[in-house]
Amino acid sequence: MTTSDIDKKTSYINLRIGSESFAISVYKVLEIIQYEELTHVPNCSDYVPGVLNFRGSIVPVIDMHKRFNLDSANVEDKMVVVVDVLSKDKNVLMGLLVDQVTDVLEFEYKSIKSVPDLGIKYNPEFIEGFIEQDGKFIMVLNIDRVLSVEELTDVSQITKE
Amino acid sequence: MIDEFVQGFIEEVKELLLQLEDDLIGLEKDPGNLETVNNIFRVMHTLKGSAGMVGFKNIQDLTHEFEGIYEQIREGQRNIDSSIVDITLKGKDVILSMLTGDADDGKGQELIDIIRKMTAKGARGKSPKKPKVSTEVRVSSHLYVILFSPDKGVFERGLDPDKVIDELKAAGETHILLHEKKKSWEKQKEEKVCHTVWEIYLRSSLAYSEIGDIFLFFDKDEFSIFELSREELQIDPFLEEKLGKLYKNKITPEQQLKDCLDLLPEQQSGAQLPAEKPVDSIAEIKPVETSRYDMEATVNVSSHKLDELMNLVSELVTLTATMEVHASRFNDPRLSNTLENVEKLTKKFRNNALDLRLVPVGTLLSKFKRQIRDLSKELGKKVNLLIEGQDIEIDKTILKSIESPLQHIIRNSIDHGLEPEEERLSKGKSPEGMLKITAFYSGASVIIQVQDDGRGINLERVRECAVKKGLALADQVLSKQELISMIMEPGFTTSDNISMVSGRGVGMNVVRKELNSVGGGLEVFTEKNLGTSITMKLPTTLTIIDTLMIDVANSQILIPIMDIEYCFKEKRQTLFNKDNRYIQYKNNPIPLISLREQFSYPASDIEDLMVIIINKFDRKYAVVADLIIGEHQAVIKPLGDLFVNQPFFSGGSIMVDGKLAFILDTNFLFNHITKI
Repeated sequence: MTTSDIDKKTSYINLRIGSESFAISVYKVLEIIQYEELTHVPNCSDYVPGVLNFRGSIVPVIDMHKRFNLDSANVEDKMVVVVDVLSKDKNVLMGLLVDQVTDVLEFEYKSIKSVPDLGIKYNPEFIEGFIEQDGKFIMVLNIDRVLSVEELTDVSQITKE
Repeated sequence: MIDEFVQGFIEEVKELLLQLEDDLIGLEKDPGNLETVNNIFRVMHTLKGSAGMVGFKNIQDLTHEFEGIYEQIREGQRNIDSSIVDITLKGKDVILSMLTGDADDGKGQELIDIIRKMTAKGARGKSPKKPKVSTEVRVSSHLYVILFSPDKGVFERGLDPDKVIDELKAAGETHILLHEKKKSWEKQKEEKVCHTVWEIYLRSSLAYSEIGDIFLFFDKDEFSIFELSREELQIDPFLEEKLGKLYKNKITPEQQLKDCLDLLPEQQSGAQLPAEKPVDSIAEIKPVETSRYDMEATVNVSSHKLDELMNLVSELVTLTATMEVHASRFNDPRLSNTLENVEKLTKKFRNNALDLRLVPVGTLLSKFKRQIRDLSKELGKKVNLLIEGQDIEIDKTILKSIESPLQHIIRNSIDHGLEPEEERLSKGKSPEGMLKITAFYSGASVIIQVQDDGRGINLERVRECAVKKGLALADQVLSKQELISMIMEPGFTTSDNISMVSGRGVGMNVVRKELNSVGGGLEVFTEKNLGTSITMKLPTTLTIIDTLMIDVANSQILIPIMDIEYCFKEKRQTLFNKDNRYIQYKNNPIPLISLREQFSYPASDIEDLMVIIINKFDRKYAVVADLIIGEHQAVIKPLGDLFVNQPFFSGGSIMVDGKLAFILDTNFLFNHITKI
């Protein structure tokens, strides 16, 4: 990354999952859609409540509450954020089931603070860093890592046994 | 621009070489087949021409020599033997390496020298004819007999037979007999009705195909060209006259020509006769044009573009269906009619888009014919290769990715599986080993099966090696299937000596890995002394299959119709009244699978259930569904990496209403059930 990239402002989508706020780079996001009933896949891991038809492809939806062990907020209109994830050098489409997409944030890359070693309950690999907004911390997700197919299939295997 | 041109040339040559290989192997089996010889000659000729155009001088030179040798065969001056097939196959390889530019010219020259020697020896030394060094320096000794009988409406097609005759006259020395029937030709021309038949004897330096070109605008039943190439023919100055007279007295031209040939002195006909078989000669012109046409009609498109097209089209289909639902509220016949047409068009559009990605499995399998032939020679084992299901279509990318796994399997079969001839005979088997490659659809998948009738995998030996390698304990009880799965462990080999062909112990492990990487699977069956069968199950990514849509707890599930043997309604009590899950079907107990149970859905209280008898790989079982909804033509979509480990579905499909349904994996479901 060059210096100019660091100074350049990038847009992030601000999501709410349970009581937490997360941010994902807009470059990863293809579409934000209203949550509708998903097609359930029998005997599938809890993380995957179902699949949806996104522009003609079957896209698995990942329940972010379950992934981060957060309680679901009592929101009526949940959203699905369709993201393009890089997994094993392959682009994979996945939907993130979140409570709310609040707004689009713009900030410089350099304003992302690094992850402290202690004091966070998430796997540090999942978090790229923090940004501070109005005195609140928003976690910038390393979405490729959070949704890595290896990790997800591993989990689904464990729950299946 | 020039690069594109060269690229196009390379693609064309690759196709031609593939065809060549096929022909060569065919020729080896059936050396008398002149059609094949002609094909090979034509390929060489085309190669020479195109190579010259693009500037591949080395290819041009080499094919030129091959052209010479096949010319001799065509003319009956030389018999096909394995040395010719061998050298041509070698030539094919050299040309291929020349294409990529890493050829060492020495190889090409070496071959050219060998061929020159062969051609110089010529045709069993009977006629001291000079070897044909080049077709440019033509020996003007072709003698053609041409029967030209234009359709009576030929003038209406804007054609003038006289022009053809003029062209023929210009092509060389001619002797023309005019069979005018009732009216004179001049009179017929005035009346614009043609009843005339021309019989032309032509001595020309032009090649057969060039003569054919003169008749470009005429139907193939309007003319026949026969080449009488033997010099003996030309020695007899009266022969032409004789042929002419004969024609007048006979009714059917073909019969007449045969008679002409019979008229020739005995020793001149015989072995060389096939070259002038009239039927062959007629067929000779057409294929050139069609095959050339086919090649020009091929366009290479990146698969990424096709994917995008496919997705867009699927979207369109779904949107059209949604639109119809909305439109139905307006009750406007004009609107619904228009929409109906739009729907029809989009469906056509989708089917067309689908077809674009698929290529027949045969395009890959024919590549192996050569390898199998070479291998069987190298190892001294006779192999009888059977291929079935060449026209099964599969996504091109998948086909490409299974090339090396398939190669491993075939090599294993021939090297390890098939026994040497003596051993086979002592076992009471036929001396020829059988290798059968079968491709067929199985639900959403394509199955490619490689089967041999060799000695089978030596499972005791597998056991020993497994123990040695620490994969199993010496006294461990291992089932047959467990032992078989051992051979897919990395580095496993039972072979004591590593041959050039196989035995390095990377084979099956790599095969399995590569198949898994495209979402495919592998099954191995083996029986001592009966042989081994290796089944590759491949996804089709984008195929369309007919399915039966069923309902299980409000989930829509699709079952490939070709796997379904029978469906019937049955009361819940009759089905699930006992502990064991079996059902009597045609007096045999078959396993009964409740899909609700399998999918961990709550049990229902529906009284009338649907039983679907599935027949997969000759294994029958019954699945129970709540309801049968109807037929659905499913465009198969992959479920994605996330669902690789689930055993139930091989794919999904998008319904007209935009919802999703899953395609039942009838093979894996059975395995999954029986494992438990």
